[in-house]
Amino acid sequence: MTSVFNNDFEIAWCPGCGNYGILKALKKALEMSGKKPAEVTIVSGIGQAGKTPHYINTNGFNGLHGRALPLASGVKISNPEQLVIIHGGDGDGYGEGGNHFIHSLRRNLDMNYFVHNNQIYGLTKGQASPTSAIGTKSGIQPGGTIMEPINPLKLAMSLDCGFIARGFSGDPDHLAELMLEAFSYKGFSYIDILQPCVVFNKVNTFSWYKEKVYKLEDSYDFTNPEKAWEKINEWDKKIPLGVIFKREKPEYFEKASLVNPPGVKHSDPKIYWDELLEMYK
Amino acid sequence: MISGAAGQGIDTVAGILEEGLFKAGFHVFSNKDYMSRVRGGNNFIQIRFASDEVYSHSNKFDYVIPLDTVAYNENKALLNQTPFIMDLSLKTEDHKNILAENFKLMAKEAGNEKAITSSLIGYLWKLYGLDLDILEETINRTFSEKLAEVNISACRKGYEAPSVENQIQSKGTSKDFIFINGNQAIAFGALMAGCKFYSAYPMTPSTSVMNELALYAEKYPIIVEQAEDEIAAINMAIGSSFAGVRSMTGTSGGGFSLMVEGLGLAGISETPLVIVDSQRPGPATGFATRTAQGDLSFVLTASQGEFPRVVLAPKDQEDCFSLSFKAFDIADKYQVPVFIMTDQYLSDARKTIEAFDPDDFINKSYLAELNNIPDYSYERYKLNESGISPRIYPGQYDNQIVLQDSYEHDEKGHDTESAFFGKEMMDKRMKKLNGFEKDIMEPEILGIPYSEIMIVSWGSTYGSLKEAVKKLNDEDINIFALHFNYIWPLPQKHLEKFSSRVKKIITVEHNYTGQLAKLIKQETGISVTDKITGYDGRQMSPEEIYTRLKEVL
Repeated sequence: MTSVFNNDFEIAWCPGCGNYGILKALKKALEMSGKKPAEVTIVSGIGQAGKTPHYINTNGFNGLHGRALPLASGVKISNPEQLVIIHGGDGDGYGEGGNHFIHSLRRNLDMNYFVHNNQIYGLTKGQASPTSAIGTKSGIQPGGTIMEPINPLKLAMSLDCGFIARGFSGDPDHLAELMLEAFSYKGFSYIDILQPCVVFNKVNTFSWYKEKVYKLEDSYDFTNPEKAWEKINEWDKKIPLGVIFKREKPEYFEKASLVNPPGVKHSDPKIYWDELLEMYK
Repeated sequence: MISGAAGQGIDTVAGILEEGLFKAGFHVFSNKDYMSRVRGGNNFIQIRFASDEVYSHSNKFDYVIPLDTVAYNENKALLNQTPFIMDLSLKTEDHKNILAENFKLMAKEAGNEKAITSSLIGYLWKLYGLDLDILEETINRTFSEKLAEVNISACRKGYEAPSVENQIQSKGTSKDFIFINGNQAIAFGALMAGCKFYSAYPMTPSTSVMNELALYAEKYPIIVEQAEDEIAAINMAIGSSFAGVRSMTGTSGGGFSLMVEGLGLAGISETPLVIVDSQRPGPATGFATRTAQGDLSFVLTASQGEFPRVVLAPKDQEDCFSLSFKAFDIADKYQVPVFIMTDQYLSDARKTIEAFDPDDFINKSYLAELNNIPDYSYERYKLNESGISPRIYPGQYDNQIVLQDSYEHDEKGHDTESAFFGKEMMDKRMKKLNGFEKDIMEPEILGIPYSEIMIVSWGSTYGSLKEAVKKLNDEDINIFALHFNYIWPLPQKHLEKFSSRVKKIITVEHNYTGQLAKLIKQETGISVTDKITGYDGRQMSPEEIYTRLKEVL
């Protein structure tokens, strides 16, 4: 597919990696959104998901491990015209940057956080991640991890996130629809994207997911928190895909109600010089 | 000096007194000494005023005002030389220097016992023979209507109490002066430099920069964000700068420890950034509310790897404004992180200074203008002679994108593991400051240059040192100081010019090892012969520096 969002930078993901499906969905969603590359900024941390800004023709900032959310928050606050998308992994976002996830939900900037959740550390070669199941074996956890996994959707739900969805890299068309819906949501929208790691995760494979995932029915009421909690807790037998919870709530700038919003255009604040001096006289 | 417990209103009363003296036309300098607690303990504020410029605090007092028994006992050693103004209830002995009145009763009659501090300063005001109207106006501005009434009444009762008075001639007018502390001046300079975003996590003694900017944000175009931690704070500021606005973060040493990885990100991604480090004694939590200059070596080398940075250390409140303004210009021009290193003393101390003149400060934009280049061909890290690539922000041109990277990268901003870009990008970054010589300020010379004894010093020690050197010069002791406010890259011309002719070089610093002295040695090979260091968390007074200099001369 020719797309203004394509670039010719060589992709370093493994053949068969779930990230290809996510990248495909992202480009499709951006095409559908009608945005130009210059109007979009993709921010990431470190990990396989963190490479996303390099593989797409938009503005981008590949920052530090775990720090994509605060970096993106600075971008959105100072240049609110940009569509800001954050791509990260489960280690990056739920481990190293867990604190920023909590507070980004509280801040509620109009940004889109897409987590490539493969339940394993890929870039550092196969250690247990915060979403790895108990018993996941690795070089560091030869007897299997004893840590209980985070259910990140529960965390988002308990912090009143206004847009919670779950996608699957194996269904890029459905994922693109979810992303598009996230873009149009006013506030912090969060999609946990299930993604097989073909090299290091021998349990949660493509076929493992394929057997379990199902799309939420049209009749599902995503505004009902009780139903949402039920869906969030589904995992062992069936895993729901789609918008799990959505409700309107005031986003950052509505809450801040700035008297004199700054904006990116260079301006000389000297007009305030005398007024400020008066404060100290 | 006013001394009392946290929660007794010492800040408020000292504020009234300082502003009243400022309004009366004096140059005022106030130094805050406070404990890390909300209630109790012993805090004091030293207020010094004169008809001419006052550069620092001093340990000599006209009067001491203890507000409670702890404060009285803490300062008792001064009683033989200094009159104490205090409430009768605190008087446990007879001493000619105790000026005790029933201030509590005066306040009670005025309507509230808590207004006792107003009675005390009314009394003091009379002893100085000053115009009561000015003090009343200041009280009026400080409190809400009802409280102002009570406090003015309490103040009048205090004013009427003493039978004797000194006669002090006021300088008359202070209309071209302002009265400001170091952190307020940094905030003011930042706003005037076009800073539109400040993110920080509260940490004493840097928090008042955030408070001041938050106050500005109520009216002026700046956003202040309280981050969840210092890691988030610096990353937000970097994101904001990348997005196109001038940004700053601020903290103290402990918070800066958390910011170090972010500093490296600003370095390799070449994002302009201003960082305020208001130093306090460390390591770890150290002395939360005290002063130090112990972070210099740390700030100079913080982060893994190598990249250019600039370190500035304002010498006084006026310099806090100038260097804060300048820091943004340097950060933008060279696309590097710039530090403003202050400390608790300078952050909190208020000083009368001349109002800044807008004509002295030019606000320039360094964003690039692109001429019809092909779509999506812009390269954020274009290699060129200066190493400073043309910088645009996302959305500045609707047919270009901007890509920044924390990995080593190619000219476009893409990850690379190529040896070629590994070398070229490092060379590019490291040569960015080659032209900085034009912006550099050599250290200020205090005293009689070409004397045989030279002092080196930096940052907030300026005021005390200036007085100490003058006193020694007045006694015909030939001595001078090179006082640095541009620290890194280290200005070397004055050092080279003066050091060969001197017999002694003495460093005066608020740290244990003499970190400026180590830097000078490292960069120039010049060794200091003596060190005067302070590391008890208290700013050396002019008297202390004078005495300690005499010991080593």
